[in-house]
Amino acid sequence: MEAVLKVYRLDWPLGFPRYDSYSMQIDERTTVLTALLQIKEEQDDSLAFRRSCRSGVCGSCAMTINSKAALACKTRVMDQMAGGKEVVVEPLRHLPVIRDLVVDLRPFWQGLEHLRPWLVNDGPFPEMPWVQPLSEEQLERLDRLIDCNLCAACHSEYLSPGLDPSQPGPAALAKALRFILDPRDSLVRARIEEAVQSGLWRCPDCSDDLCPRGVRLGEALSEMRRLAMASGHAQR
Amino acid sequence: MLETIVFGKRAGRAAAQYCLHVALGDFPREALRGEESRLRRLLGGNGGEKVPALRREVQETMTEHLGLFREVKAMRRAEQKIQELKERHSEVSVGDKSRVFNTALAAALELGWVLDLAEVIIAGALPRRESRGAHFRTDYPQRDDERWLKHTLATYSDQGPSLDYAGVKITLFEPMERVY
Repeated sequence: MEAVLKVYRLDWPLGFPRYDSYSMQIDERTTVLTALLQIKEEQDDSLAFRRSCRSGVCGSCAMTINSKAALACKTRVMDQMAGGKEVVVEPLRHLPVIRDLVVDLRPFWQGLEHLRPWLVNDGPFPEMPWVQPLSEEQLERLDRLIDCNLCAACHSEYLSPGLDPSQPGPAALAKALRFILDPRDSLVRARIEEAVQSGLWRCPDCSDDLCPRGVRLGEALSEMRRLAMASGHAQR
Repeated sequence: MLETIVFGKRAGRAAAQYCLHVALGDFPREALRGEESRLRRLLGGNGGEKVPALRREVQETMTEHLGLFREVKAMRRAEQKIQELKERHSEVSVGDKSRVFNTALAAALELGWVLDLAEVIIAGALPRRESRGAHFRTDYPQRDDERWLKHTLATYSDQGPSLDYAGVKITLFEPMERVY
């Protein structure tokens, strides 16, 4: 069937934003990503966007589709066309646009790096065997947080004008929680303090359906705040 | 994937150490000129061959003739086809003329390298008259350790891939017949 994709375009450095409409044939399996690739191959190879795995794993193709941040490879065009409307494709919000659907993710990385998203173990190097298996219960708590692929969709959705895009957002806080809950990490208290200082209490509440990978960000934020209160960092 | 992280870190450390003891060499400016004219041709043209069509042809050729079942006649056909595609690739141009995040240009360059790799795969597969792992030949279905238990090394030359062979270092695992 026929579909129309209305896509945000911006040429660098002297262009003004515009929307280009592309009509094309799709079927029930066509994703926004395959549609964009089809446009690039058959109609306009200057359309720029990021993509890699095309299977919902890498996070490269996060963009705004009909006003909601999502992964293009996991969004079916037909589902977006309910009521015969055209599908509007735009870059992620609140980040500088490099070109068309490609944004500068550096502010997002900055917020993430600020909370040290890696395992820190200051203890003495463990004796062999140094594999420290986690219990089923511990794994289950981490499971819901590990799926983040740093796509920045949540970042696009939770920010509003007035909030600083380079401050740790939901993805960064969820990552911090992932390490706080990991018994192999030794930073626990410091991580909680860093989260509080970076605006844990100022961060707007997140809903659990922000994340295209199903990370429950609302739940993660609540848990971080509970831990903060338990360590004496009540809301300021 | 864990290997990439571990060996990536080791490689990075070794590279940093190496840099401390080695002076910067002279930059080969001649190489730049070749690249400049190639980029000018890719960005400057307007007609000619298109990347998506060529890419589809190399995908189909390699899947069909160098895929699950290989045999000499099909591989020779693929060899000729790849040469044809390489020539056509030298006439390719992209529509996107931008100097910023030009993914069409990247795709055109990468297709050139894919064609080089296709050429090497075929060059390695043709003389190897045996079956071994993913290289399964219907015309030589048995493994031949006596003649072919060795690594193929391919070096780039203007006349195409130049082949050499290196012995396999056998340590913990002895080559055995695959019976599972």
